[in-house]
Amino acid sequence: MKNTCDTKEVSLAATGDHNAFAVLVAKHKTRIYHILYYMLNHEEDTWDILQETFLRAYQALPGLKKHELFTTWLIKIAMNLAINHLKKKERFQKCCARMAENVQNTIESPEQIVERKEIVQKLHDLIAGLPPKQKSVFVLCDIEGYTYKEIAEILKCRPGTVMSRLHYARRFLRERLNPDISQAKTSKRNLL
Amino acid sequence: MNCEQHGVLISGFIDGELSAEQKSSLTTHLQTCAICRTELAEIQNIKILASNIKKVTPSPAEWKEFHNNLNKNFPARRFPRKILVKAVSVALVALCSVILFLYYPESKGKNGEFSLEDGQKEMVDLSAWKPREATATPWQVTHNAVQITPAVLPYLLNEKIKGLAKANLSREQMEFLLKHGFVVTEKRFPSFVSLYRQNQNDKIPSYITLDMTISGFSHIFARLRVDMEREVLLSKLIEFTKIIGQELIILHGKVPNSSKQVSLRALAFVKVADHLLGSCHISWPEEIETLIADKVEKELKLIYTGRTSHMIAIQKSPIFGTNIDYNLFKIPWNESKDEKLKRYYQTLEWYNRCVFRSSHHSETQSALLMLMAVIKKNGEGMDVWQDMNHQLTMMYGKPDDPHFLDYLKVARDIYGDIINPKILTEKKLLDEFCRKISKVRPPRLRSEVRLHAGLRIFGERSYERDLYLQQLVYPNVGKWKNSEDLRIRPSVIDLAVILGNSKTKKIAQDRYFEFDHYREKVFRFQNTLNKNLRMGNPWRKGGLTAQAWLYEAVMRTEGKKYPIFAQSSAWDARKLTGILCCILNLAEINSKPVFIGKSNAEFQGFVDPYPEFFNRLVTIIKELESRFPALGYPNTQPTAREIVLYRKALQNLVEISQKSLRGESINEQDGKILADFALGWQGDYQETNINEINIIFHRNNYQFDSYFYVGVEPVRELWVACPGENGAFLARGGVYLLYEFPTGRKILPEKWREKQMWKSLKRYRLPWINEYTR
Repeated sequence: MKNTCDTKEVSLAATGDHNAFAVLVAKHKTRIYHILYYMLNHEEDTWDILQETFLRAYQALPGLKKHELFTTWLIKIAMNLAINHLKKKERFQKCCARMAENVQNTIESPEQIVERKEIVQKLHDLIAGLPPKQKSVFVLCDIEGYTYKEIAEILKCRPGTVMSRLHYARRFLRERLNPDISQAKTSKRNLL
Repeated sequence: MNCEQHGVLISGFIDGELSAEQKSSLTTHLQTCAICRTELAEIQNIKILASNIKKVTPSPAEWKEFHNNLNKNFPARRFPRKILVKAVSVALVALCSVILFLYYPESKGKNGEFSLEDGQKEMVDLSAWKPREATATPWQVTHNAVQITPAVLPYLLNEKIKGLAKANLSREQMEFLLKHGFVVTEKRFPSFVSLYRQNQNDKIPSYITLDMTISGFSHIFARLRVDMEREVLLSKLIEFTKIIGQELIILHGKVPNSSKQVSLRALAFVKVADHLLGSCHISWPEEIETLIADKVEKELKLIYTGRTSHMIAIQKSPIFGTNIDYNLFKIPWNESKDEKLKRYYQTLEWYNRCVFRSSHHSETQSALLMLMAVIKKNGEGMDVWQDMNHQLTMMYGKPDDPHFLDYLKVARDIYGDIINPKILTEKKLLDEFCRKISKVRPPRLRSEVRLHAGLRIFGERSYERDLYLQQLVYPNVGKWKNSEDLRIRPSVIDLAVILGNSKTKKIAQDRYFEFDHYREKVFRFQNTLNKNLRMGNPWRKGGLTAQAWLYEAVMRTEGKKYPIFAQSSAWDARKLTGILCCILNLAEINSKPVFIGKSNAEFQGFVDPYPEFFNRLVTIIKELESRFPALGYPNTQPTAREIVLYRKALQNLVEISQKSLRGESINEQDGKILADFALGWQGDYQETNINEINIIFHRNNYQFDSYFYVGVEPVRELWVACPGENGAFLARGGVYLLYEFPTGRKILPEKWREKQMWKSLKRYRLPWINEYTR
């Protein structure tokens, strides 16, 4: 994980150096924004939780023992906040309902979804419907490109658990996306 | 383990996270379980789709608002309880002062304002840019093979054929040939020979051959590339140069003094490109221009005048200090008429000749600055670069050396996501960077990478025929180890190794065996080759043309290292034909071989019976067509329309050649189609490009003004194995020799048009067909 250059700033920020913390915010804000964006699928919520993540991090920073693990720790804060947020607002169930509707539509009119871009958009929508734990693994692995080991560190679980959660997440998406994928394959083949 | 348990492993397999044991268990399972294979493919697809999700990047205004809100809500820090308890135990007064300090930190800034944006100055966020869809979907051709059901009559060859003795065949080979082959002689098939000669006099091809179709494609493709360079790539190159130029100028002010020279090298490099292109409207500050003027001028002088009449004009580059062959900036005669294109070629040559070597710290520092320049400004430069790189890779093959994507990845690993020009002074990290980047990609055969590995901005503009070879023979030849990059350039060395050539095998062992599955592929091909050609074995000795080409390709060397095929120009289409026919067809044979004689249909249809070969060309062209929109190349361009027409003509050939193989007779409509193809397909092409059609038949480039080749010489034959329903069957292809039917006369366009006005197609049903089929 890319923690190499943070140690100095983290130490300073832990002692209350706002400028050092500002550097950390500048460095990590985009990455955290992306993770939250896919976790929450809601722009306003993303901004709120992003702010909350950095505020919490600033408050809790003096308690962080291993400064070199700052990034992992920060993502973990963001993930926990996102999962709690989803649970609280019952957004998950709503998303599921919306997703079910989407899937219904897909079955009814698969010919509408021929473009790859649309499938990517559909995938984006379906990710919102994943259970939080699976979603966190999927976002970190398939969208952010972290390894199992890194994800295991962030989520405090075993790499094997990461693999199985990822498997169920992908299977969930695959089952709902399957008509689309087949469609994409066909359309690609037609182009060839 | 059952499917469910293996299912979990599939994800790990795709992500490369399985242990050797798990991997082997899953691989074994996949061989027998179609359901899991489907799941693997579909999940892989999901991963690709997920990587295509475009990341939403907030605008600067949104970030500003975020920072304002964060500042507003910035909390007083509450320390963990144990620290507070400890503080209480030390002293109450001290605690008070600590609390006071914590709740009202002095570090709120000079005016009590706290700006989180301070940390952003001079920063380049390497994580901000993500590859676009184009890179994530490499050239992958899905091909549906045509079904072939040959109906063949037995025929015995006369042993006393003139010239056959020269073939120097072994007894087994001769027996095989007598049993399965045939030849056409004047005595036996007088009407055919008469027709052939008549065609010869009329300058009309008697056959539509494989290499004619390759050459036709190659010819249109070459013009398509030039068209694309003019319409699409030139403006992109200007845009790219402008972006990096401007960003490097901005970065130059922030580069530490000790690294100014490094920055000036990068600037001089771009300045040369700017000059070669004319002007990219970069506002060069006077102080920078003065500092780099000398080197830029010397470099340009060498580019414009430093060439010599010798083959090679190597001189030391004033900017890089490495040797560059300045003859390479010469523009080919047929491409130099267009001034804009001339500039494009020279600039592209400049970009692909210069390498920022990873073995040199200062050049790597310049490369890092270039990286910052393309990533800065929301990755605009990188977007343009990626577009261009994708297009160039598609048309010319993948460059050997590490490029921006590799540098980006390694830079993120070493320096983290946020970098600024100050990193240039961190020697330890730079050491690590150089070490890591030099291992990014192993050097390939035709590259000077071992000595000059480093950042090369774009790849070479040559060797286009390799692309056909790969697409036809090795569509999925493999990937680099630990990388998603597909091999774009297979070499004849692969074929040589398959054929067991010891010298090339040694080269391959040094280099190519690093590819995934290389060994397995080689062994598979070797086994198939041995198994299926055991009877005839036309490859070992003797005078068969395919063998001669193949051996020439394999045995003759270019310099000391490479088979001549690697550098072939004039003969490559022929060699390709021979080699393609051999390997292409053999690659698909799985069941027991069935060697049979040549189909009688061949002489009916004037078309070589290679439906699958034509079909593969069709696939390639369809793939090309599908990529036009992504390449920004309008489908309405004449060359784009032309290649579509060509593809349709080839599709017709597929059908007719299938018909030929089934032994069905060719009707008038088919005859018309064949004539259209042979004479130049319908549409603009036949009207405007008579000379270019000539070139298709003039496979020997340097003699195309004086010779006009038609068809094949009937006595000499190329034997190839074709995939049939139950295995292979041996078929005959054209023989293309240098002394083949030269007329010594050029044909005039008027005469050619006259020839196209055939009033009747009777000549397709001449009596020789009946003579042959008896």
